[in-house]
Amino acid sequence: MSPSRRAWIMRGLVTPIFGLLAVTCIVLGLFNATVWKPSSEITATGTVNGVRYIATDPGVLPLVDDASTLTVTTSGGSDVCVALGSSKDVNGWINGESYARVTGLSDWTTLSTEVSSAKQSASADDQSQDVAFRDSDMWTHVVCGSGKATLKTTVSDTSDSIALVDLGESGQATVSLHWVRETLPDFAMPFYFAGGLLALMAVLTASLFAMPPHKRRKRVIESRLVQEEVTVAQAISGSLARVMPSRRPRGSRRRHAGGRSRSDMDETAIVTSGGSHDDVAQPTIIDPSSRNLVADQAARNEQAERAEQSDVQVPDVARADGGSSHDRFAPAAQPASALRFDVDVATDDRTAADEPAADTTVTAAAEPDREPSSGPVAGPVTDTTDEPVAEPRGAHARVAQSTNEEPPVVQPSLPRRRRHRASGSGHAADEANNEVTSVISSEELQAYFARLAQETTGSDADGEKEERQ
Amino acid sequence: MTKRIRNAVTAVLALMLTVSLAACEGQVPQPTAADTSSKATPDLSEAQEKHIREQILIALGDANDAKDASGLSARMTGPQLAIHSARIAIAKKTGSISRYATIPNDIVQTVIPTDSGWPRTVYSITTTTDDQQSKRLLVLTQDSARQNYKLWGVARLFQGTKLPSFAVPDIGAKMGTAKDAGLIMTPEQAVERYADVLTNGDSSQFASSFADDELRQTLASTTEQVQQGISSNKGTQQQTFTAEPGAIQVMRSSDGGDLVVAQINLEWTRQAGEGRESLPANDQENALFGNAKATSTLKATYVFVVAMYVPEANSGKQVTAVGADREVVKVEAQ
Repeated sequence: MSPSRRAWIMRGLVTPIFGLLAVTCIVLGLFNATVWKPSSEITATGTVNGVRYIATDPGVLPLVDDASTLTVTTSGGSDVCVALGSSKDVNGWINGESYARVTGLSDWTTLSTEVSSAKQSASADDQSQDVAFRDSDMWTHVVCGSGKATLKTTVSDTSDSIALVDLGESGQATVSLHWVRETLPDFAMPFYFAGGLLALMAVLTASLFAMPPHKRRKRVIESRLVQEEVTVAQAISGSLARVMPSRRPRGSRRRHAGGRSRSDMDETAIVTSGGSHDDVAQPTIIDPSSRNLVADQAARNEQAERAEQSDVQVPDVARADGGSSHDRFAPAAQPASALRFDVDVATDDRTAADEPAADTTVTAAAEPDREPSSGPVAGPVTDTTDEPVAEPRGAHARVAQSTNEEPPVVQPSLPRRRRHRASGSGHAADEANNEVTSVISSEELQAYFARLAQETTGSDADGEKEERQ
Repeated sequence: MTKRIRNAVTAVLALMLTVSLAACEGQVPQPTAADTSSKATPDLSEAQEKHIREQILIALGDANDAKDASGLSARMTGPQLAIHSARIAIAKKTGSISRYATIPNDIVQTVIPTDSGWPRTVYSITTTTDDQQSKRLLVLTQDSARQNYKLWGVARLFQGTKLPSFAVPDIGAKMGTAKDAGLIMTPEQAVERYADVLTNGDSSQFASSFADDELRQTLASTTEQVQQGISSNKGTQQQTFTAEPGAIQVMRSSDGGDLVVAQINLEWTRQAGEGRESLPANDQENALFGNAKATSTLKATYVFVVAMYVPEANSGKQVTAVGADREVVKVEAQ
């Protein structure tokens, strides 16, 4: 359906229908509030023939309202009495007599009546002591009249009071019950409500629904553009983090790096050493439940001491660590990753597409394939980015970057990785780093690395933990 | 498209018709019969009881004023009709109605049952009279639905008597029967045995079942006084109390016992010795005896209304008479 055709149908057809319905509903509501308003006065009439007594069923008097007026008119003009009494008294009085029951309303203007025949003949007791209907002690109210009697009653729903009419003799009578309703049903409000809804629908069909669907959708997308972009980036980075074990978490997580057990560090050392053997992307398995915070702290302290005391030793150990069995040097390996992290943070504004490229360089198998993808990025930047990614697993490279004093150590390890990456730009980056670090003294650098190592250790653990999840 | 419009218009019209026409007055209400079987309502309201009592007192007052007992039957029945008719007859001679016939206008308590059948009984306890006579226990009965309540009996409560407690009139008490079980004796038995105790005094085999009361004491002293006179005349006297069959009203108290009001008749036969005439023993008898010819033997018939409390079985209590009224209704020479 073309947009113009849709708009035509919506505005030219559906909207008028809704509008018409809305007007109709409101008009009906107005009618119900005025001329069709339920009448507060209800009068229902019934006719009874051939009986002397007429009794209302329990619940009939307070049918519409507690206050009711019962009027009985006889055709013959004879005396007629209307009494109000309890149902058992009434039943006692009319026992053995035929009588008519007023059973309720058949509609709002008609009383339903029913004649009940005598089930047994009137008792043959001595009736000399019987009193006249109007004189009975049992009635709470009694009204008599010639040809017509009117009894005004107030009977609650729970009362079992009923009315009994004595026509004096069998004949025809008209019984009418009159109530005044206190609460009237409100039929106008539903119409007003429906009319309002229909009017709203008319407005919507004329505006929003008349719009082509793709326009509406675009508008919605544009309004959410910023948020969606962030969401997509987060989603991509999240999924990549899952795919790429070597990907480092954001720097803000460093503070959560507190707990790493010694075994964790062992594994890191293993991985680190493995990194130097070109199988860096091997996933490490860490059991979070086996963490020992005390041991972590001890390890960190030890590592800090080590870093402070033997600056010169680190390279040696790192060199010996080529065999990967020396877990003790895992912390020493961290500074490099911390350094890398700094670079990471600096290059945090890389595009999402850049990240996978940098990450995949870590994976030996994937390296050749992914290499080109990192190409588009500026050479030096890519290098500094790539290198740290590779570094965390390799203590040697890190040390090489951080200390000028150990060029021999740096040289064997770095070229080994660079060989696979087939990129010479790494050397330039190393040199640049050396130039930068050469501005400060080696002691300061060592202390700085040691401090960063503590933080990075945690971030490593955090990152790994995230990966395992 | 036209079909759609047509459908829409049809729907609108149908909606208008159904909603607007059906909704003119709302749904016709249906009577919801109150469940009267589960809750028993009192037979009378207190206002009705008061109205009935007033009607009775009016009839009573009219008869007293006119000294004509003919209109009493409209509002009196049972022993009270006999007693008050006799009192009016006596009043015709003495000029004034017995002060025991006074019934206060106000009551302190009424006991209205919830029983739905007939006859029905209502107990009402009046205040003390203006001349500080004791309270009256009024027994009103309605024999059938087409009849009105009538004063069946009046018992003047004994001094210091404590009546059992009854359900308040709004809730309604329950009527008992003459053969109620669960009591130390049935109400019927209680009346018969009490008559025996009145006849035989402490020598009655049932004397221990009945607490001493004002009526027994009064009768004993009266009998003794009369005996003195008869003895001086070498005459004899014989008192025979019998329960009037069927003349018994029972109301169950909330204490578990029954408050029984019954009619007991006394035939008092006095025979003078040594050829003397036996004369009425008091003013009332004299008024009723009138100018009839006295013989050696005089039989006075008294009607007693006795109210007694029959406690529950195993309560360890005795049957206690709580009130009574009596009047001589017939005196005749034999």
